[in-house]
Amino acid sequence: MVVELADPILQSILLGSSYTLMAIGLTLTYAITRVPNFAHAEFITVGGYTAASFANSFGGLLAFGGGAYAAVVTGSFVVAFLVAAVIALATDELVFKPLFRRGATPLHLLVASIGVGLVIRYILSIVVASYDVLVLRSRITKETLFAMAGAPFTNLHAWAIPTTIAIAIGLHMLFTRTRLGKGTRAMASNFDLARVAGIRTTQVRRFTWFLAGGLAGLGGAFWSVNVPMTPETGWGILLWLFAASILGGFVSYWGTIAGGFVVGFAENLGISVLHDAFGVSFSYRPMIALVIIVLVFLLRPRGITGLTMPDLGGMMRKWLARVRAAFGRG
Amino acid sequence: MEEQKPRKWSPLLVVLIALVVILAGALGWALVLLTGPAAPARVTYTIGMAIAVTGAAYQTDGPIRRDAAVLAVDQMNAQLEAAGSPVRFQWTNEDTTGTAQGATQALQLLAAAGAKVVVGPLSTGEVSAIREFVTTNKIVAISPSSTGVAAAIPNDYVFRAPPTDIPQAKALAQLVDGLGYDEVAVIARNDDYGRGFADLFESRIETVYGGTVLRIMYDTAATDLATEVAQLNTNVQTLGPGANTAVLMVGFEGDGLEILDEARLQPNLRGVRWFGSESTRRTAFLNESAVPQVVQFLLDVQFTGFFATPPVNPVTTAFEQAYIAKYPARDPKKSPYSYYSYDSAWLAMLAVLAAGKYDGEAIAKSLPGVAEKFIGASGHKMLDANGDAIFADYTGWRVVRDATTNAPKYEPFALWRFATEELEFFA
Amino acid sequence: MPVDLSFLLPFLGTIFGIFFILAVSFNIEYGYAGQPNLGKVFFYSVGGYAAATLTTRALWALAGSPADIPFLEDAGGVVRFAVARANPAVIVGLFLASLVLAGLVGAAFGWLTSYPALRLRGDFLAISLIAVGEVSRVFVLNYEPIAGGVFGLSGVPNPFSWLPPRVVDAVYAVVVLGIAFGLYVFAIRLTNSPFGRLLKSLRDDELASGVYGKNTPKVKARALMIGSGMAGVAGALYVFYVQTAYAADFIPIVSFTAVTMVILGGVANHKGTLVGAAFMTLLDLVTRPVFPTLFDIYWRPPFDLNYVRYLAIGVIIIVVLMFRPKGLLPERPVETSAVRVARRRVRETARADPSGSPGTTLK
Repeated sequence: MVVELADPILQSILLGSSYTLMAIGLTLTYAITRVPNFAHAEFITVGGYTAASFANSFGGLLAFGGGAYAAVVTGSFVVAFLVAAVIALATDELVFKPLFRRGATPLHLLVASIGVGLVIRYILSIVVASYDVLVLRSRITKETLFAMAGAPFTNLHAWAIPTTIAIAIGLHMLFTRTRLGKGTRAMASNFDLARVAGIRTTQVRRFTWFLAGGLAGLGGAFWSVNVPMTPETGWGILLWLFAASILGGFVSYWGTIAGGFVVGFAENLGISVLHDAFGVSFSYRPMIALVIIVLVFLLRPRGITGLTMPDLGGMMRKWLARVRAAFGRG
Repeated sequence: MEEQKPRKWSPLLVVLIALVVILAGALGWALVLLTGPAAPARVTYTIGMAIAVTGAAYQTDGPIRRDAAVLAVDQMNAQLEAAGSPVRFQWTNEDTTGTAQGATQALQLLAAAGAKVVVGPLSTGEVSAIREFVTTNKIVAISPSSTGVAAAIPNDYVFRAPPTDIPQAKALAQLVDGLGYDEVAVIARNDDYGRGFADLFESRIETVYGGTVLRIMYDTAATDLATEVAQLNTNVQTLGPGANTAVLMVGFEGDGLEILDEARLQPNLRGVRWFGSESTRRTAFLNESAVPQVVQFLLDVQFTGFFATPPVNPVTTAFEQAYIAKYPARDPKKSPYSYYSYDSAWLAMLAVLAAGKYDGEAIAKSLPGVAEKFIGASGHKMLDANGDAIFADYTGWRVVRDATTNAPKYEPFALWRFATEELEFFA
Repeated sequence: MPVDLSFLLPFLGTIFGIFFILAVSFNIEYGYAGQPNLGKVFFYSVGGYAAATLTTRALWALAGSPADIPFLEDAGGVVRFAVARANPAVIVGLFLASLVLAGLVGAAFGWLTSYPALRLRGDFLAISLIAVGEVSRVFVLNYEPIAGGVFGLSGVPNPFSWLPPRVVDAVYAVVVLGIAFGLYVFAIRLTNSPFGRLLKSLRDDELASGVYGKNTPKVKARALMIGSGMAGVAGALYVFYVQTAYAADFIPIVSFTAVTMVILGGVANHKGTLVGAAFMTLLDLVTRPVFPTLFDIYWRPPFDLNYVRYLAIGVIIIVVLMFRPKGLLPERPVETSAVRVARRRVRETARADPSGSPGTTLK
């Protein structure tokens, strides 16, 4: 049974890394600038299309292998990061920041982000439809490197997992060691106090949006290697990203990372186990992750941030006591 | 006496005034048109279209089907002009997004614009939603791609250009069994099309041919399908990856491409024969410059399926050439049902001309007669009592490399005759 | 081609009425009570499923539950339509019963939602409710007994299908608008009352309200119940309009449309919601490709008009928010009957003594 689950486990890790990468940006823009950004989905889609277009333009070079291959792959990821970052920055400068300055509430910004999302998605649709690439498959493809207990460990695994770890550590260093990073944390916790303390909030804001968009674009670039890109790709993933983000209470960086993996595992390992054990159809797959989210929130309204081992122990003890009491009465 | 209205009312006033001005302007213009100079001798009929072009299910297929229908209208107009006729056709497409609400609103709006015949909607769910509306209001709807058995109803205003899934499922089951496979692992999209087809196929294989089917239904909103394909791999292993096992894929372009892309990485899936439903015969899968590994996979698994048109049909060839001429660098094989939407539009226009007037009831009465004598890009279009295409000899295709050009193609290799339910292999 | 108003006006009226009810319900929950119920479509859907199930099952039983005709397929729908057309009183009765049932079911789910709503912060509640809506959609799509699964439950006859064509649509539109207006008046009454002030106090400072002895959990529960009940009624009206209950119709964009109507129109202002709903409905019509053809303008641009439509909607939403960040109509203070009386007194005093009274001006 474990061997059969090797595939879903590997897939969970891959998807978890991808979701994490895509969701970090969502958490950043919400925590630091208080914008629940539904257009985040489009940064991912744009990143994916950019990476795939770049790779396909240099498709011939890929066949040469080795250095040329690495160059094209790295190039496509870098370009995707930059394009999505610039678009994200532009939307903040043009839409969210002016609205924020006029006193818009988060819900106003949410509605604005839906508008922005429509604009980006349909400009993209018009462009790709005219080039006849509504469905765009990147020439960089997933290839099996070796088999792990019968399951394919692919080149995408080899790229996505270290990248996610590196970015997780890198951002952690950024937030704890650099001025800019500390500035973002200060802004997240108290905007006015941060300004009073002399933190250049405009600069921090621009950095946040640039980074958030870039990470989304990078996630989209990985995603374009995984599946064919369509204009609705990002929008289809968005709810899962909110789920990942919400597990971190929308403000915790490590919580989002944990959330991304929880969602990835629920979606893949979870449905496989349910299928094998109870014959649950795969068409229930989208439900699993969302049900977990809902349950987590019923049990722990602030998300899983700050959950320590003693906390878990305490929860177990309380639950056992309740069970004992119920049976004791019976 | 009213309290003086505070200044804050002015935005509302501005909006209201703007709306009134716009409405007044529009009504005024309409009046001018009605009372203006005598209408020219030109008679223009509207072909409405309710073809979804956005939404996860139809964002790729919808535009191609609409373009095929538009091609038909252009061709008809050119012919009418050459003949010196005062009649012309124009078209408008309303995006239904593939939902029942979208379909209902599209039809209502097209009715408001005076359309009496509509090409669309695409899915069986949408067709069920608008059936009563078009029947009560006498608007002819010709669906180019609804194949669900559940929507076959006589004496209504819904006509369907493709036959229902029943003959295709029969043909496919017969082919699968005839080629020696009685264990089939099915992977199908979980919507009315995928469920309907998979149900029919499974019951044929199990009851008529005594085979075994292991089925995976995947949610159409799934972000990726690797886990489902891994399960397919397991199912094939369970059934025994020998000479008796085959795979059936029921999907559209995005999901189909993804399944094939994941399947090529799985060890067991390359060693079995793959079959596909009619909706899987797509140029996207054979695009060697874009997806060479998928092409190689399809060649290895000898991807096979059916398509409902006679193998050598000059109308089909003419349509394909005209489509490529009008939309360069595109190909109607990108969406299999584009052939049907082309035919649906032609049937709509011919029925209007045959009726001699733009009246829904007259068009509905003339349509079966027109269809009976019609051979389109998707073959004969004689309609049965339910208004669905009755006559379908299915051509079996498989993926091979062309002998001269070495390009991958869908080669016809068998014929399933509807009348006799006989399968005939070509030499 | 002259516009066929007998289709156009009911098109506008019905969809406006249904979405207006959704928007008002969101306004009550968020604008007044501060609970952003972004999962509005969930309560909308349960009302729709309840209405569809009641009506189809009752008509089926009346038809003698024919065993040879499948209930879910279109053939079953044909039977139901025949029964409905033959028995006007029955179908109208079922319609009214469905509205009541849908309202109750919606309210029941709304009350259930108040439990997590107590414990969750606003934005968490919002996302959790969206998740609940999607869970419900996937579940109903897979579990056929509720609404026909992937096939949908069609054959839910319009309550006026026994009327001649076109009249059906017009009468139904009038009924929907009537119900919408009734709920609008109800909402105004509800919020221009001490309860309305209580809701606002809850929104503005929950802690303070609690300190003043207001039972905040119960108030939240009531607000969510009322809002969800209204959404359920809208769901029933919707199902009778498209004559199908189809899980794939109940997607998050429905909730977002209602939210946009309220935000654009003006939060905590029912007239604002009216303006917002009218604005979005007209915007939807005006951007459709068919719209110019209603005036015989045939435009063939090289790009897909449907893509441009959504692009235009996005741009307009952003523009309206930019120029009217507080909404087209701003929030007004709660106007209870006491306030109205006081205002009238002030006016009368001012009229009696035009030299300028030192009395307070109530805004």
